[in-house]
Amino acid sequence: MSWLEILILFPFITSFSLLIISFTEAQKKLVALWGALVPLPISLFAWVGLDHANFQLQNIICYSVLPGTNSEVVLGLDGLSAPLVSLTCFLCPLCILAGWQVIRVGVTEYLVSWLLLEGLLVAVFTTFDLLVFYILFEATLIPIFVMIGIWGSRLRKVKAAYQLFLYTLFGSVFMLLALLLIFAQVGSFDYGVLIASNFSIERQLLLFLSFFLAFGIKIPMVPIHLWLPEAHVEAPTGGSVILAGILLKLGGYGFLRYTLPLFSEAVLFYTPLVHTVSLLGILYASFTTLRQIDMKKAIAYSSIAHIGVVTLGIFSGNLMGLVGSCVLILGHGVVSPGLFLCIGVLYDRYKTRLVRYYGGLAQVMPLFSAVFLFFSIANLGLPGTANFVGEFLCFSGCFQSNNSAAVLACSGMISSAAYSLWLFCRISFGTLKTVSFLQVADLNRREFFMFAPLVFITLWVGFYPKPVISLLFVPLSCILELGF
Amino acid sequence: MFPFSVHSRFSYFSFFSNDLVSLLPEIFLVCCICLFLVHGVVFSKTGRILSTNVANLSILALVFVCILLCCSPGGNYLAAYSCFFEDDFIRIIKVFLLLTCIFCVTLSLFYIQLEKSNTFEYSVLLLISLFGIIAVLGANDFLSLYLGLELQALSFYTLAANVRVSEFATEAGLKYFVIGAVASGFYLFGASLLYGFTGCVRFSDFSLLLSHIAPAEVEGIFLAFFIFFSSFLFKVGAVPFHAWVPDVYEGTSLNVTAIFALLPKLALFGVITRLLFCYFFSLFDVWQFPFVLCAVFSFVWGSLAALGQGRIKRLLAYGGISHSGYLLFGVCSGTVYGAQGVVIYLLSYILSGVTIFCSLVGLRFSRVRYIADFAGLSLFSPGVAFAIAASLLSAAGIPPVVGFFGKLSIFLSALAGSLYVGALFGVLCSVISTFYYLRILRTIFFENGSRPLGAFFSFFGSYFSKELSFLVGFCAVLLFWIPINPRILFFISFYSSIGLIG
Repeated sequence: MSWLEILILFPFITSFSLLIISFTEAQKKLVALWGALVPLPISLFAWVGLDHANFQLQNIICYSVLPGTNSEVVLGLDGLSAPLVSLTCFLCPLCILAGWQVIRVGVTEYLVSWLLLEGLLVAVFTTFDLLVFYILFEATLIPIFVMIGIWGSRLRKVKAAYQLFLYTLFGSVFMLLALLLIFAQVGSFDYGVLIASNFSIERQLLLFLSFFLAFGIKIPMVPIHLWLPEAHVEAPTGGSVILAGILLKLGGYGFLRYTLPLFSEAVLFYTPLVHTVSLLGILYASFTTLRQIDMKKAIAYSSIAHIGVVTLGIFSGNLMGLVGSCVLILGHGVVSPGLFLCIGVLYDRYKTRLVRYYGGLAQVMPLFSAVFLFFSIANLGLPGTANFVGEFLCFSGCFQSNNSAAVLACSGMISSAAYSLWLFCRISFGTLKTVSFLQVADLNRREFFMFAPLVFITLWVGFYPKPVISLLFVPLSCILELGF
Repeated sequence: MFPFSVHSRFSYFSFFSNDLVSLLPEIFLVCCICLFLVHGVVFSKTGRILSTNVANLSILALVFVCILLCCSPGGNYLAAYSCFFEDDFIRIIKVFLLLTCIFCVTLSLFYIQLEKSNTFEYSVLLLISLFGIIAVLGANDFLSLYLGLELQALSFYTLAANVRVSEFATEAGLKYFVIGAVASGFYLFGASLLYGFTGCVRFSDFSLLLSHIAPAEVEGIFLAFFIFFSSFLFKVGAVPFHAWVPDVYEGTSLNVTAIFALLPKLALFGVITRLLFCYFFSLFDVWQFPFVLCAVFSFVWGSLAALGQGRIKRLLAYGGISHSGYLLFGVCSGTVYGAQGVVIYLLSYILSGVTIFCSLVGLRFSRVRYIADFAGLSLFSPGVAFAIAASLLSAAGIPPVVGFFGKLSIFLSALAGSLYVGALFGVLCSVISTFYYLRILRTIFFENGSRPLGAFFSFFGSYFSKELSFLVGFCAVLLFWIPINPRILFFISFYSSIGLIG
């Protein structure tokens, strides 16, 4: 068995063992935690061990689906997918930790769905077959649907789960059609074959739109983003974390991996559209964040704004923008989970997410306030944090291709400072509201150890991003070479 | 036998040298039916309850027929003076028919024991209809096809009204009878017109004739063709002829509904595919567009009408209409992918259908009729909840489940056949259908009902019979296992489509 197989299969095997072996509840939690954690060092080793100068897939495994034909499913890693795999393996144990004490009903199912989600996500980032990518892309919906529907907080959760499922499905059935059209022309779903093939301009325009709908809903772009705030608000803390950290990034990954190299002319044709939509997203989401009264909704909208920057970077058409978007994907994948975990900490204690019930928490929960401040600042992109590196590179990439869009986007990001700090101030400073007297408890050990690695990674990538960026250069310049 | 036939070779020896070998499974089946009938009639006088006994015997008989079929010599052959035909495609569909029938008898066995009904005729009727269906599949001319269809239909009318005390069942039986009679009338009218215009009875003669002359030269052949095929559209419940489906599903008892939903669809789509692909392909330009319209309307109407249904059976009926639409759509593409797609879709349909009907029969004790009755099922019985979820996800065509591969191959064939607009409608309707299948999942998983299920489960504890729970578990695991290792699925579809085309 190669490393990659262990990486993918380990969570599945663990979830299966949870189902068939009778553990006590505490044992179940520990088994699940270790099952989710073991892939992390493996994925880190695989990432570090990648050959930086090699643009081809590494650690390849091939599965022949039909003997005698050339239908092979290729799994592998490259510099683009390896960090996302590591991020997945890093966030899933955190999510299990986040529900450690809160989840009382259906613990086994909860843990099993986390492990399944982790396995599916690792597989989706390692597959290099369009059909398998699509299948896994859709399959990730089922665990998160169940998670929101069963362990969500309010009655509205059912509506949120529905919206999540149907929005994504609606987008991806168009991708399915596009995929079949590609297959009808090329006769293969293999990534290497697809990259080598050419599509006529008219067909590219059509295919791009279908892929754009699928990935745009997933990432989400502004007119089709409505499912995201609902899903974030209703999901349990872990669900929000994985949504913001990984599932949204699937859209960005799809753009980078498939849309840019395959439909290069169409990308040029549609770049103004994408820039417009991203700008709308940045401006609209930033201003909407200012008027939210639900903390999770505020973070959700700020995610949409940051994702707008990511898409600007992806479609900037130069290496700087692409690298920036990848770094921002990683940075946002660490910072926004941190914020959602902070809100989860508050919700676990006081059972409300409305901002108006909170105030003056800095006096009774100093450690929490410090962590929350750190992530708020990271979210607004202060130098020294991972988001700064990403945003800076995105904007400078965008300046090279589209001045006005870059200027507007930068000014939109100013309001991110406004909403992040305002949210923090309303919760942590001022007079102590009554709700805070009910139970005064700062971060406990479990929560501290959830936050510590997030803080560490944010700072590390912020101060010394070279290890991450140097790995991204080769695959991204390949995409650029093929795409533009 | 038919003096006007081109290929008629009259020989006394062909029956013993050739036909007996090739028709052995069918002959064995007929012998079993007669034996069971005599057995039932003789022993029912002694006052014993025979329904379980005969059902068990028929399962054994079906398994044996299945083995015989798998051991048959293979290849293509004509039998009984070219009345029957068999190739790999037909053989594969037959094997799946028999397996499905075994499943149906198993779930009926549970139902019979539950309702304590004392009608051994039920299993015999089912076997007779199965024989009719097999005859339909292998038919090589209009007459044998008609005889098979009627044999199947007549025993189905009786099965529909099986529960004699229920008004619903009687109504359903009557409706089914009237509609079936109309469909048979259409069939006879169309077939006699086709015979009148061309002078051919045998299908292979048709394809030979149509390949040598332009179809337009035979006047009236288009009209005759459409009248002929509308009877098939009646039987599969495609849209202009679909109105009977929900009423019949609702009225019949659950085990009969399962049979109606599963068996005829498998056989009829096998026949439709074979007729259209092998014998009437010269008329492709003529039949493609009307059939595409039928298919599109079927899945649009099936998925829209299912949105408003509260009863689970009616919902499954409308789901069945839209499945017919997708299958027909695959046939209409006129490509090899289409034939493969139909086989894959049928297999996934059968798997998910068996799972859901077995689960419903198992829940029969608690009188689950409306979707709302499912509330809280996941708390009381997570295994059944999982099985139902798997089968519904498969029916909706959500990726990791096997139903996705059915939809995938259907849409692939549609795009390969340049049916772009239809494919667009198809995917949109699959999203709509996901909506109502998710509604059931929501009721099962997200709502904590206290009404009937709670009381039922606390009182009865274990209620599924061993066979039934094995069946549910087996199918539910297959639904997830096949996508992980799709080789067998693709292999079957390749093999059967090669048998069909080549």
